[in-house]
Amino acid sequence: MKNKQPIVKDKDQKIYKTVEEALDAKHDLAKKFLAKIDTTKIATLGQKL
Amino acid sequence: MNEPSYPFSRVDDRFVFEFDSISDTKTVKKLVEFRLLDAQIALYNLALVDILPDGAASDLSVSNNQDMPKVLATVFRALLYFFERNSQAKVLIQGSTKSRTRLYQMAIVKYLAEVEHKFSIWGFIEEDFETFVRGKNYDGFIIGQK
Repeated sequence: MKNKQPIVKDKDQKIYKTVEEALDAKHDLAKKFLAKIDTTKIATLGQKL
Repeated sequence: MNEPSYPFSRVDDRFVFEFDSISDTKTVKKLVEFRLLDAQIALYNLALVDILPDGAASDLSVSNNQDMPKVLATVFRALLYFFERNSQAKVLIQGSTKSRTRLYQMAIVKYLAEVEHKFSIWGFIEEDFETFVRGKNYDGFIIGQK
């Protein structure tokens, strides 16, 4: 990879080759987050809407 | 909403939006995507990334453009646009890091008064969701229209 320097240094920042990769990484993180949750509870929240 | 925001445009048929974060020293292109995570419960995830000049992308929007309130206001407007077209959807908001999640939480608190008549907001804490409460720290959030 060339020229993959972060705009500012941040120990948690990750740089991806493409926008799609970055978006996929973000959404994968959300999926991992959801895996910890009983999604039926989210469905219940939906019923309250 | 009185907070200044950037104009944004929808990139394609998906719910992907882009806008420019502009300061005296640089312009940073940002992308917001609402992606369906669970069709059964119409749950979407909100992702915000920076596009770097060489086409690469950063998962953290820490471009230090001194305009985070304006960036968050723009994301909020994109969220409103999304809900106008997906009234039954719910959107998961979670930062890449705890500090990012706190940043989103601060934005929710900031806009809560003007959106709580229209939206329900829940915070995730200790493996459960509860109605969002100011002053509590959450690990993530779900927003849906009332």
